[in-house]
Order: sequence, then C-alpha cells, then structure tokens
Amino acid sequence: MNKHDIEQLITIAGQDKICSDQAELMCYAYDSSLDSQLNKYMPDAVFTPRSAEDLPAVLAYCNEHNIPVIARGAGTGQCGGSVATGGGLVVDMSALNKIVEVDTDNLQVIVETGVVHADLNQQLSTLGFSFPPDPGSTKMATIGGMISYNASGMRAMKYGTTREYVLGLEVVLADGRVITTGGMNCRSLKTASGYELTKLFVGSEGTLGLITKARLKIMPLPETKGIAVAAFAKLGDAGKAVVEVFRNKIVPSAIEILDKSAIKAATMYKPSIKLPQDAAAVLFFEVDGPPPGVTYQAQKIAEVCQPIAQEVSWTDEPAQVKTLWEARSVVGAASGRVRPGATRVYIGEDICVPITNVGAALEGIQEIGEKYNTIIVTYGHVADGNFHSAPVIDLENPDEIERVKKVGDEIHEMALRLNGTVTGEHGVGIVRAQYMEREHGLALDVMRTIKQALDPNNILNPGKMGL
Amino acid sequence: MKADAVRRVVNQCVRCGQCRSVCPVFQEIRTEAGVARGKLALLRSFLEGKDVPEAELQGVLNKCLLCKTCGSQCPSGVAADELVLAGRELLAEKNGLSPIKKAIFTVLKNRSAFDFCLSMASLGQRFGVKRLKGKHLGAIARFPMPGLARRRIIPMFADKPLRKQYPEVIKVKQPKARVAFFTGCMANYIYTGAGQATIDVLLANQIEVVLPKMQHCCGYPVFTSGDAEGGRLLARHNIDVFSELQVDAVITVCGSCGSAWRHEYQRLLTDDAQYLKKLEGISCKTYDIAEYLTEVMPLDKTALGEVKAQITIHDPCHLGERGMGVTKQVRQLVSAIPGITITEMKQPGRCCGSGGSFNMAHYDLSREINDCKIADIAKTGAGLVITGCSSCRMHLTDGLVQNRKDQIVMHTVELLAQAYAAKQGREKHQHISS
Repeated sequence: MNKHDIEQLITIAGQDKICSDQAELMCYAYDSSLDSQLNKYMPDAVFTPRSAEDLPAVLAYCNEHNIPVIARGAGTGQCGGSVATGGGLVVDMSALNKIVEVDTDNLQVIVETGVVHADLNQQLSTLGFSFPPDPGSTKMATIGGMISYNASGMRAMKYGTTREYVLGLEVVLADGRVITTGGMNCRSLKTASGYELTKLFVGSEGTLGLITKARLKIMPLPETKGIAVAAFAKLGDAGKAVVEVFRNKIVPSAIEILDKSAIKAATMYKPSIKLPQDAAAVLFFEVDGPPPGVTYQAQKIAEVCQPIAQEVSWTDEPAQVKTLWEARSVVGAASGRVRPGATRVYIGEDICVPITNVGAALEGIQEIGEKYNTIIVTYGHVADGNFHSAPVIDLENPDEIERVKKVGDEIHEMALRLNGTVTGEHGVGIVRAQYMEREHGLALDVMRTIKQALDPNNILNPGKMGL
Repeated sequence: MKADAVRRVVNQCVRCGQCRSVCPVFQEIRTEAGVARGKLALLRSFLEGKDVPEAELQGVLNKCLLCKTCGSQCPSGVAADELVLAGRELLAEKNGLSPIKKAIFTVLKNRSAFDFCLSMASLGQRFGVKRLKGKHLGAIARFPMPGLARRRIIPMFADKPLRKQYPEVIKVKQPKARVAFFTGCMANYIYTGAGQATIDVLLANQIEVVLPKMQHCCGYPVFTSGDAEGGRLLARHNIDVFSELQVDAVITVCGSCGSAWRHEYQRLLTDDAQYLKKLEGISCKTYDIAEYLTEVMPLDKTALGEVKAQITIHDPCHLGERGMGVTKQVRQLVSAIPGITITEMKQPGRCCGSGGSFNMAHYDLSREINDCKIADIAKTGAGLVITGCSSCRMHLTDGLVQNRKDQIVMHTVELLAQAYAAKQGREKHQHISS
C-alpha cells in the first residue's frame, strides 16, 4: 500500500475515516494474543466506517489494487485474527454500533456488527429477553467479532454457540458487492432454502467478507437462577461429577471449573472468597428456569455430587447465588496476580476436549507448566470441556517467553491427542493456523477452494486460519 | 516514574480491552488511540525505543481526561491514568512543554505574579466577556480568544479574591476545632461564593478558620501536563506554608486540590524524604469539606433551615469513588437539610468531560462527553445540580446552557450555607423550584 493508495482511499471514504498517522496505526498493531505483543503487526492505514454504506467502494478499490483488508471489532481476540500480518488496511468496525431493530414477538433483533454484546443484552434485558451466547468479554466484545470467531462463553452447553443464533447477515464481499444471507426480507426463525451461507460466514474470521449487519435470534430471559458449588480432592472426580449430573437428566446452564492454581488466584485476589484451599478443583453449576425447577435442579446436583465431592453447597437465593458465583467471575482478572510484577499472557488458552477427558487435560496442563517451570492458572467451561489456561510470566525475561511458547504448543498438541480441538471459542487466526491441517485434513483444501471463489485476490484477512 | 519502571507497569496491561467499555473519550471517538489500551501500547513502543513520532504520541497522551475510570475497573489492576501522566512527564523532560503552557506555568509558578494577574483579570474581563442574562452564573466571550471556543460559557472572575476578603485568622468564640482552609484557585478567584460558604458553615459549627495568605495553586494543572518539577515546586511551597500552622485539619473544597494533598504530592516527592515527612503530617489531616463535616466534626443538624429543592449530585472524578472516595458523605450532608429531595442520576460518577485543561484543548470532544452528563441530569427532573469541584461546575454550567436546560449548578457547601442562613434568617430564604 503506497501513499497514492492512501490518498485515493481518502478521496473515496473521506479524510475523517482514513488514518495513517504512525501513532494511531501502532494502536492497531495488536489484539490480546501474546504473539501480537511480541511481533507488532503494523497496518498501513486504518479505516473507520461510520455506516455500512462506507464500505463497498473502499473494498472495491482494495480488491482492484490487491490491498489486504483486515476487519477488527474490539480487538479483544486472542489468536491474532484482527491484526495486519502483512500490512494493509485495518477496518475498525467499532462505530457501526446501532441496534437497528428489536422484534421480541418474532424472537429476533437486527444489529450493526460493531454493537457491543453487553449493550445489546442490556437493552434486551429491559424487555425480558437476551442474546444467549455470553462471552467473558461481554463488556467490550462486538457482535461482529463474536460471529466471526463463533464465540460462546460459559452457557454454551445449554444454549449453544453464536452460530446457533445467527439467522442472517449483510456482508460486503471482497469486490465490494453486498449480499444478504438468510433471505433478503426473511424474518423466519428457520429456513431450508439454498446453501446455508449464513453459517459459512460464522467463524470465517473475516476471510470471506466483511459482515456489517446481523439478524440474531433472541430468547426470553430465564425467570431465576440457582447455583451448586462442589469441591473435589482429585481432578478426575470433578469430571466424574459432571458426567453424573448429566446422567441424572439435569442440564445446567453453566458448569465452570477452577483448578488448584485458580482457587489460589481467586483467594489471593479477594481473600473474602471462601474456597477450600486443599481441593484439587471446584465446580460451579449454574441452573436456570422457573423457580421450582431451579430449586429442584440445584438440590439434585448437590445430592449427585455428595458421594464424590469433599464438600457441596447450593442455593436458590439471588443474593447468595451472586456471592457463590463471585469466585468464578474474578478468576480471569485474578490470574495475573498470582505472581506480582508478572503478566498473564494469552497462548494455548482455549483448548476444548471431550468431557471424559477433562481430568486428563487438567492434569496435562499442570504437568506442562511444571515441565517448563511456568505458572499456569486454569479455569474454564467444563460442561463442554473448554479450558482457559493462563500462563503468568515476566515479559522482560526472554527465556520465559521462549518457554511459554513451548507451553502453548504442548497444550495444543495435548488437546489434539485427547480427541479435542485447539480452539473452543477464540478462533484460529495466526496463532493456531499451524494445527489446521491436522484438525481438518482434506477439508482444509475445500476451505481454500471456498476462499478462492469468494476472494480470488486473497485480500480479506490474508495469512489467517492456515488458508 | 522512571522510564524502566513505567515500562514494567505498562507491560502488565494484558490488552483485554475492558477500558473500552468505560472510557468516556473512547465512547465518543471510537478509535483505539482514544482508549487506555491504545495509549499504553503506544507508550510501550516508545519505551522500547521503537520509532514513535513524539508529537503524535504527545497528542494521543493528551487526549485523556485522567478521570481514572479505566484504572478503577482494570482486571489487571493497571492504573492507566498514572502511566499516561508518566508518559507526559517523560516527553516533557525530553522536549519541554508547549510554548503556551510554558508561558502560563511560568506565571503560575510565581505566586505574586499569578495573584496579580488573576486579581487584575476581574477588572479587565468586562471588555472581553459579557455576563449571561438569567440565573446561570456565566459569561460569553465578546470576540475570539485563544484556547476558548467561541460559543463557550465561562464563569466571571470575582471582583475581589476570597483570601483578600478575610483576615488570615477568622475567629469564633470557644472554638471546637481550628482548621486551615486550602482554597484552591477556583474558590479564590472565581467561585468565591463557594469559599465564603465554606467559611460560613465552618463558623456556624464553631470552627475557627485559618486562611493562609501565602498558600498557592495545588499544582494539578502543572504536574498533569508533565511538568513534574513545577509540580514539586508548588507542592513544597504549600507544604512549607501549611506545616507551619497549628491546626487540627486542612480543608479542601475541590477534589483535585484534595487529591493533590492526599495522593499526588506523595507521588511527586517520592525521592524527597524530608518533604515526604512534612507532607505526612498534613495529608493525614486533609479532608474535603463534606468528609470533615460528617466524619471528623459532624455538623450541627439542628441549625439547618429548610431549603426546598429537588437536587441531583455529580460526583467529580477526583473527589468521588475513584479519587478521595467522598460520595456518601455528600449525600449524608445534603439529606440532612429539611426540604431537600435527592434524585440520583443513572451515573453520578461518570466524568463530566472537563478534565482540567482538556476541555480547552479538546472543547468539542469534552462537550460531547458533557452532553451525556447533561442528558443524565435532565432525566432526573432535578432543578439543582450540586458538586464538589469547581472545574466540573464550570463545565456543567456550560453544558446546561448549550443544551438549553434550566438547572443551575452549585457547590455542595453553598447549599449547606443556604440551609444555615435560612435558619438564622439573615439571608433571604431561597426556594429553588424543581
């Protein structure tokens, strides 16, 4: 991308929407991944559209001149998906943040893709509804980012991932044409008409088109919530308890796990949180629904866990639910504090394994941490076997950085060995591209064919997903 | 903070982006350089010796209100405002201040010159500004002035500075306590009514007031611009003046002045053991007026007369939760006044967009941030806004006028003084319609 291109883009989009100041560009050289902290990926320019109509002409120019175009939401991703690995134009979608239509009677909303998840749910909650996928980054993650990386969060076991809630999309293709998937005027909740293009774009990480609007399915908010907390002497027992709960026909809305290191981190961060320090793991079961059902389920989970666990408690009192949930909610923030002066880094942070391998995966992560003398705090969505391991290192120490890279690689290798996947909800980007061949085999070739058909000049987020 | 130390702390930002959900600047401009994460990333590159254009870096670091909202909610506990400040200091050390700031601070750091200029300003101002008609206390410039948006409403300088209106010691019979009043510049030169109200309320509670003539600006505008040495100069001067006094407490009526005494002087004087020791003796007995009248010397509630008003409270960044932690004390005080109804805003602690000199350098942006605040105020239906910071008061007044709202703004202590006056019957009982 040269000076002339930037001038042309300014002519097309307007001076206020294209920026090429060095300092501004440096603020777009990263996401949350360790990789993008170590290798700053500078774009050549940043484009901040103020409406979806600003995009087609810019895309058409970039396509014609082979300029890479990298979509970016809130930049909260952890796989380097929204960084410009080979320069180009980063498109910051943050300002496309209008909730276009709320239609609770038809269980759907239409939003621009820069809308922040928490803002959408805040508005929906006043009407008694919600968009169920619930990422930990709710306060900043954009709907566009969630769609592009098929985000989910802790309630995926019962409510599913973002993919299950996307009914239709407005997409600007590489050459600037605009399509609507899911039917131009369609307001139905399902369709059997044509190829399922909507789901193709979900999880495509900005490699097939720029998603500007989404029609999303919403659900009534559950009336009430309850919680059961169980502590276990062995990691394997925690896995057994999860299986037992399902066997007893209970489907919790979330099952979260803290391992020993995470228990320590949460306690250090907030000593008022009372967690058993000698436990190998603590499970948090959240149940939701009408009040009698919630009470029954919470009680039943406690009964089921009783013979396996060290200790169990449950409640359906809203204030107590909040208190018990607190330990889970602080652990992400707490991780970095287990080692003063050190930093939690995002690498190998999103593996997902079968429920029956949960114990093995947790033990494996601990062993890898010991092998490389690296503190790893692990917590996650055990209901679907998805773990967030948080290595805590001194970023000023090159040796620690080299070691943690090996930690990340070994965690990913272990996930594949345990019949799992390297990413449950964060996506591939650049940091997990190397595993795509092994996970998908020939199917990766099909993905490349699709990419080639929709983006022949390979301008859309090039170098991502191993494509 | 030295460059190495800054780099280590900057590294603790994990770039989760949570600051995007709370930063008032980002919520208006929606670009990454506007938010703490972007600023810290840029600062990190600069400290790592990467090729960062310094003028651009300065521009990015200046676009911060220092409202502390990001730091207060950062999961990793990174106080980004302190790092932005450290960045400004590093740049000022390297390149010096901008010529305008340099000129202004040269006058400001000289106490008598500063006092002379601001005292004279009251005489000259009528040629430059005209007073607004109606109940809003403000004025508008008659012709374009540097650093002042044309439509902007500014307060008038007082005819006579507060400290020249009183003797150095204002005595009461059988005093229950003796306090020193650190007026700050705004209550001394502009909102003298707030200063008078403070003295009235203290006297009504039988507290003797010392008004040191030699006190000077707390230094906030100076050290937040990166001039740490200038900040130290003012800090040492004030510490010298106040450490000589035999008083039970030091009272402030501005969150920034109070924060300077409580937090900032300590940061500035980290390497100066002698002054740190002197400061310790003062900062531990420095209180905002609302704090003092609730927790140290609870006021005489029986002497409060009726003031009929529906009010709402704006919690300033440096006085409220993120600063001195004075919020409930304000509510305790005003709810003790008969006739007062408090209707809270949705976000009483959200920054009003003033940010010291930020509102001069980035008026349009600070106006947009302030417009959110004004909308929040309007929704309460209150007729009166009270706050404990004169800089917020100035910006809120401008916002109310720009948005054609009828609410008026006053300092918390002025409302209290009205209540005392109402009981004493020596001043007209003021009904403020809601």
